[in-house]
Amino acid sequence: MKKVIFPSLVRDYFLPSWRFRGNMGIIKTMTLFICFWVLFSVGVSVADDFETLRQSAQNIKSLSADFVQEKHLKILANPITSKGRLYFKAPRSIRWEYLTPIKSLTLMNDNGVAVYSWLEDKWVLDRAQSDARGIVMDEINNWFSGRFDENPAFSHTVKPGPKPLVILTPKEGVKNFISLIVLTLSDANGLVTGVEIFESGDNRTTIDFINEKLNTDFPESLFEEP
Amino acid sequence: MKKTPHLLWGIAFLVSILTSCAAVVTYEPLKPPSPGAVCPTIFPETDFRAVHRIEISSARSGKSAFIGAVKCEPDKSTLHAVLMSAEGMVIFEAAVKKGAFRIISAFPPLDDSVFARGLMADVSFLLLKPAGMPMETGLDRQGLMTCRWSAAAGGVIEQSMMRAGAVRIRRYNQAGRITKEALALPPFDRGLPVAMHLKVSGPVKYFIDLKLLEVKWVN
Repeated sequence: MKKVIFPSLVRDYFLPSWRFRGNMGIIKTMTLFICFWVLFSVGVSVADDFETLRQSAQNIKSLSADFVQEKHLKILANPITSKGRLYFKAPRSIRWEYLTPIKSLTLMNDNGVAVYSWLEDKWVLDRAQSDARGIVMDEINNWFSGRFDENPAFSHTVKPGPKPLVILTPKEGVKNFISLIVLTLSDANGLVTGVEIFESGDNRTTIDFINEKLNTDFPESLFEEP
Repeated sequence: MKKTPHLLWGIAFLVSILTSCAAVVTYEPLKPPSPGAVCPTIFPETDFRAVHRIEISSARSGKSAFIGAVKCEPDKSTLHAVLMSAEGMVIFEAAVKKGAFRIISAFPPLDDSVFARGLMADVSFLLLKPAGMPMETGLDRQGLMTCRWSAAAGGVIEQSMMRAGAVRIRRYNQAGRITKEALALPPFDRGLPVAMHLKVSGPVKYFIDLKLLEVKWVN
């Protein structure tokens, strides 16, 4: 019969115990199990509090990603799918661009927020929306900076797991329009990989980030001009 | 979809508006129609759900683009409309059922009931078939086959068959002045046009352009 080759540590620790050492073997096995359990618990707790999330996000200097957004409306059988591209650069630069079905662009940098609409084959600055969009972009910037609990308009909860969740529950005012925001994070680095927004009237928006690339160089102009 | 015909129709519509401004069109009786002439049939007869790209422009606020979703039940004169920003945020949702109007949600200033009622009246004007049978059919002063219906809220709704398949829709108030004028552009899918241009007159003039992105027929 062909001999099974175990990794030396496992072989040396387990096999002699099981075969020859009786109760001592069981005790050793239990000890090892407890050690694994403790280690696993520590691993999960990487993303179980906001301070740890904030620390993890400090490794995110820049990010680029494609996103797919689905708008689920109660009156429509199928969601409206939008696609776009996101660029983020710490501490406070975002380019959030929708490519389909309607082109629109939001730029955030140290000078503020600018919203552009694609009208008559060119980008047109929408001043009214630029003023209003600042609050939303600040919140999105908080998410990519790991500062999930800084907005006083929401109460905040972390749900640990293989894909940790941050749940933002709106307080007075905002809750007339949004009933809940759920952010899905990557356990590896605390990066937001998905957003689900539950709105009034049983409407819902999901955004999934794909092709995420961390810490690559972008020109500053990406955040300054369309 | 080809862009050139839209552009041409846009120019034609602009010319039509400019002509209208030069000589204000008012309500006039129709001339007897040609034998065999029929009313335009542009409004869908069956229930549908549609998504449009919407551009709203006025001298005061400039031009902005939105996404509009609508559930329409023509037989019940029922309409449920959702207006979203280009990013998909719902900024206005309302329903109309046989003239009864209800705001479901609206961000300020869209929560103003006068504005909201006007917006839903525009959507109804563009997508809902006038109730009942035409009260008058014939040729207008341009020689276009035209049909007129009594509007439930007073005044008259008029549809005229333009050359090359487009349909002009007008709403006259009780004084016989045009308050809304739209051009529905071919091709039509079961009565739903691929694009529409609306001009609304009044204290604040504005324009709404609709481009059909998606339609699902329920029946």
